[in-house]
Amino acid sequence: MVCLLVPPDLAIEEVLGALARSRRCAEEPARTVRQTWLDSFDWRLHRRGWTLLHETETHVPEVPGATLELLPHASTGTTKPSQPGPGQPVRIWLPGQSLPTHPVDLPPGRLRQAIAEALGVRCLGPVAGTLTVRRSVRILNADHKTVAWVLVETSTLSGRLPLGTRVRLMPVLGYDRAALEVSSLLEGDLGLQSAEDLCSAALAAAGRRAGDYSSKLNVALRASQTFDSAMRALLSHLMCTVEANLAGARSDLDPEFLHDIRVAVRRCRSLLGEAAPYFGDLAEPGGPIVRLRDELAWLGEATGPTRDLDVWLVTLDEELAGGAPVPDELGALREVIEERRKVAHRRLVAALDSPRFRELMKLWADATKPYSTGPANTGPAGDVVMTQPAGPIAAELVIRAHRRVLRRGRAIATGSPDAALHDLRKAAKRLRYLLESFESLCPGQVLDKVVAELKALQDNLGEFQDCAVQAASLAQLGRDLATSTAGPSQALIAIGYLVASLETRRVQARADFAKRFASFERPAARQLVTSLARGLASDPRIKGAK
Amino acid sequence: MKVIASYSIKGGVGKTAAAVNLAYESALSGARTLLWDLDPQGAASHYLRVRAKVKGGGHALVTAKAPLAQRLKGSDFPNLDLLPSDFSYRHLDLELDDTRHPTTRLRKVLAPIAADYDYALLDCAPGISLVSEAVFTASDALVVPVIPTTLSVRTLDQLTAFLAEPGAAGRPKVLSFASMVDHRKRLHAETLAALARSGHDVLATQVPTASDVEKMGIHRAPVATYAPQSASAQAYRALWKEISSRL
Repeated sequence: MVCLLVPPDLAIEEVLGALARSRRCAEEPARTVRQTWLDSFDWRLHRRGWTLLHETETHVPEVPGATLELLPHASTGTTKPSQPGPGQPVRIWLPGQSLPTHPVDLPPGRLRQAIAEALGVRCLGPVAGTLTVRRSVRILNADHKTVAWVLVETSTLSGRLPLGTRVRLMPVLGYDRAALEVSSLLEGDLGLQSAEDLCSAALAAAGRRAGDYSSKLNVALRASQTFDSAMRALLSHLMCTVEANLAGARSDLDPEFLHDIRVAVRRCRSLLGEAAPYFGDLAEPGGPIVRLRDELAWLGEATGPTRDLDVWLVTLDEELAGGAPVPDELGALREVIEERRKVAHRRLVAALDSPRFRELMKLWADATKPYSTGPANTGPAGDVVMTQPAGPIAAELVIRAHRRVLRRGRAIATGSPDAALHDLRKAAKRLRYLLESFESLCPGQVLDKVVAELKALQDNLGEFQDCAVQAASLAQLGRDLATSTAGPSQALIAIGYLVASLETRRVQARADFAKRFASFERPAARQLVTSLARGLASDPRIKGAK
Repeated sequence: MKVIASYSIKGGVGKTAAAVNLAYESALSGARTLLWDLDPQGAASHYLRVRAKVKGGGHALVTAKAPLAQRLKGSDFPNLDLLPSDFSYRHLDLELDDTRHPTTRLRKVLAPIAADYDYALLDCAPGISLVSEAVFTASDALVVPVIPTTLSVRTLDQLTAFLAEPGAAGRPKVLSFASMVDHRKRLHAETLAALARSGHDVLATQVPTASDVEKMGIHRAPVATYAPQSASAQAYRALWKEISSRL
């Protein structure tokens, strides 16, 4: 597809006239359409190279409906030969004009399947909207067959800000020559230039760009940046992540809004804890850093019940999709959990609307201000470090966190309590968060290898801990239901089934632990972390963990 | 890719109208759809305003001398492409007979584009021949229009008997439907009742006889594009839903 911009000094009639003089054409009646581009909050369709366009007529037609089109990212290049297959748009007609939010809102078929696979648990939402007056011209051959489409579109951002007039040339499969000839007329004779596609233009006009949100901690730090400045950048990014997700978490659009808030809170808390020795007086008991950490712990607890219930629902859905032998019972349990989740979510919203939460966000905002203007920032040895380069300090933090993981892991024997593995999991997470925080300063290939080693260990520890916690929580739910007069027996059967299934997985994860940890602590894996720290500090003399 | 052939031993039963309208409904539902006009008369190509001409003719297709994708034509409708007819298809039996495994040949011809489409609908010429056997092997289902007359029902009997023979090429589902039905005719009503008792897999949807379908030759487009509220358009939509749910 070719997308060209009509300059303000060229009238649309001149473009259409030139087409009519050179080709057999048929113009369709002009239409005003409302175009809405949809994606998940974290741009999952965009990341797969797709754009999802919902389009309705502004006047309600006899049969109200909309078209929904999944198409590859717009190209602004010259005409490409049309090819059949996955690169081609898929368009369906939807009854009604409301925007779909979940794949179940769509009729079964390839488009729904593709969107469902890309979204996972996320929902769709509008990311950009335009109002467009469209004049469609069909380029015809001698049989009056359409061999190319030319769409002349004058758009505004939701009816307000002008976005210019674009000409889109859409080839038809097997008639490439016609499209090339029309392209030559538009680009050659009329001198039209390539245009930014309408979705990108609408986003830019609204101060956005595609892919502008990610739950990843992708903060670009510079090697010369001071530790003070790096910390502020990281804390600010994490605070923005929480703020960006608040509306979605309150509205309960999908579970990932809350999940992203919780991850940002954990990252921030972990980072503050790791860096505490370098904050000097700020990290003394009663100081702002300690208070912020405590309040983040409160927020973690306030958001926990809803998230736990979300995880249960996902587990239930996986069991149902996997053909569990007790589907009716799992369905009954799902209803019980959904009811509890409604209550938990109301409490969550109350927490997010509370003065305590507002105070927490104020504390967080204060933590993103320069520390050097505050009390003296001295390191563990009493020297002032916050104004030193971030790399060497990050290297120290990574080495220390790595040693902690090794120490806790080596202390675990066959008969160690579950709590020991939980402590190791927390230590592994803290190391992971450090690596993510200073990712932009790390040597890339070494970082990937270190993360792969760490992730293998974390997956094992996560499986063990999640199964243990979920089984205990479900068992407690079962006891609650058993003592209540309205305790549905089907739900109790489902709980029994799930607890047994989780216990099997937990035992397997525990059995796999020794092997996973042995791999993580082998000399080659330890050397990788040492290499990483040396790269971070730009200092080959750094010694790693033994 | 599911392959569905609009097929009947008998001519004039509404095969091409079914193939074109079902392909349109498939495309409208969002499925990437290919219509292959296998009939040398080229009526399906004509309905979609595509010239009934394939470079190299049936010989090039059967011998796979050039990529099939280069011979495809986009229709005027989203998600719907056409592999046009060619007058040389009248010799397709002979072309297939020259290959080593004629009855599996069409399946092999379609294989390179199988990932590009959700459905391929084949509009077949009437009769039973080597091409028909290749169609049976390539197809997941045969959609067989049956006019409620004795001769039409008889050819359905012949088809099912042929497919039941030991060593028959392919075992596609045979989904018949009542075509060109006129409920004012007593014979149609009686034949439909007999057909329902016959043991054949007869779809619930009936396509009425209607001038709207005949007008496809004038409009050169699927019925639903120029008479969306007509009984015929509604019937083809219901028929496609029924067929797609059975595959």
